[in-house]
Amino acid sequence: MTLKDLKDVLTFAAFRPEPDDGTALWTRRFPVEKTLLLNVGKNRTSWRCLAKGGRLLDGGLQRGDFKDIATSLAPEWRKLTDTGWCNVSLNSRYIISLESNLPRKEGIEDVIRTSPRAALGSKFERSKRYALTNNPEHATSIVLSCEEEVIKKIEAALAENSLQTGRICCGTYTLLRRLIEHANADDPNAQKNAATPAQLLLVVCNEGSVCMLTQTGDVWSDLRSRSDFYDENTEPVFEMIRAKCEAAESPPSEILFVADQPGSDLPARLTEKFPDSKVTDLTESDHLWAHIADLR
Amino acid sequence: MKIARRLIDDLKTERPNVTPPLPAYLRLVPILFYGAVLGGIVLSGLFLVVLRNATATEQQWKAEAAETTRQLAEVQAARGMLESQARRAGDIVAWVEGARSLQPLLVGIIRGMEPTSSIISLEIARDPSNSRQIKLDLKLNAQSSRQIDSTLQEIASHDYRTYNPNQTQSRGEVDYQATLLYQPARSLPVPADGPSVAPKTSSAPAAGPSATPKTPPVPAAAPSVAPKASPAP
Repeated sequence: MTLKDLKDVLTFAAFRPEPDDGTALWTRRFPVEKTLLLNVGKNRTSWRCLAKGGRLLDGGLQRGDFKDIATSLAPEWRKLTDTGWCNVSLNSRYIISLESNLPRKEGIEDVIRTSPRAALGSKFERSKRYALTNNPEHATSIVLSCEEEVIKKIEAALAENSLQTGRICCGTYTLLRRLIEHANADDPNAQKNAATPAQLLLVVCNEGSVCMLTQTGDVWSDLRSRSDFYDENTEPVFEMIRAKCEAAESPPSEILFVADQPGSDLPARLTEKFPDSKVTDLTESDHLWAHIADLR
Repeated sequence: MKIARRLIDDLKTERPNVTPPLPAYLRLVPILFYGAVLGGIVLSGLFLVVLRNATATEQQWKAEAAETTRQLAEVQAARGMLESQARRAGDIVAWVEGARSLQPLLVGIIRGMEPTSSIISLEIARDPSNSRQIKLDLKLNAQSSRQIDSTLQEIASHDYRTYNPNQTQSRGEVDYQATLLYQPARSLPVPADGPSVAPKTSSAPAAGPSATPKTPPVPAAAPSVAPKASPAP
């Protein structure tokens, strides 16, 4: 036992998760400190300051390579965080895929963090990091894979500028996961008892990245994900959704849509294009920041 | 389908020695620590106040003890003074009581002075070694020796007998010294160790009788008296 341990006990810090404890919610790790939220894309990086009480303060957006942006904006970023801890949403060079027949051991979604080979089996690739969401009712799983090199570059770039990495996630994957939780939060027997299972189309748009998941009943049937797919114009996303719906035998009964910020024209265009489908825009203010910071 | 558990995806490089937070019930440890510190501070303050009060009380008691000691000393001094005065008063009473038996003798000697004679000094002192003996020292201004004779008769009339008389006379001033011994007419005979009766006369013959009377024993505790009689007016 060191003096720091005693100090942590007396300041009650030992009863909170450590700042880099990946199993703890961000708000539990930093209940009172200001922290920096980053969304790192291929050619653009946006940021917000998360203050005490879950208030989102100053933010910004800069185009360019992340390493250059981190070097130039590090002084400003350090002012936005009390202890230098950052929460990074990776929005580039990731793959979200739908896999089937992965091992279904208890707690496998936590095991993949430390030993991905045990969770993925033959689908494991060295130099990649993974996250996993199993469908409890079906043999399908959503797998997020990301280049380890990209993660290490981000960690190094932040460390060079006296910033610390508390969490690196994929914002699109996080929004998709929350959207799945929301879509299946109702009575689990309701869809089973229905005459025809509902066909849901879950659409996530996050600063140029898009991910679509088709769920029919409890079955995840199709998943399409593109990073750096659109910029300001959402036409590519609309075309992608339209092609997906038209290729299907019947349009989805409901389209659940979320984006990183409210104000997208896609829900209105989808409503107009598919009048038989119920389009629900679940986007809230600061949707991406709130979810990667575990505020909602 | 129900995905109940909120899963947190984290792709960063994990630190191997990340420790989980301590259980919530262990918050009692720092709470008890701060409680003990706070209690210690409160008790210390309380003890300090009590200590200050005790010190003040001790000082007060010390002052009261000193005052009482001073008052006791004053009372003892006053008592000593009173006892001294009482002792002196007792001495005076004893002296008066002791001299009471000599007062008729003195009055008789003074009244026995002739008009042409006067007393310069009259001193009667009881012998401390033998309280039955009284030393007489009488100085007179007298024109003749009759005054001494009448004075001796007056002494004899009060049942005192003179021993070892010593008389000196020069220029009308007579200095008479003798040892008086009370011997009433029906008294017992004087013991054999009584004073010698051989008179010594320097310039005149002895005026007193020569005898060895026996004197009754006088208590040893009788006070010695040395009354001085002023000359007769």
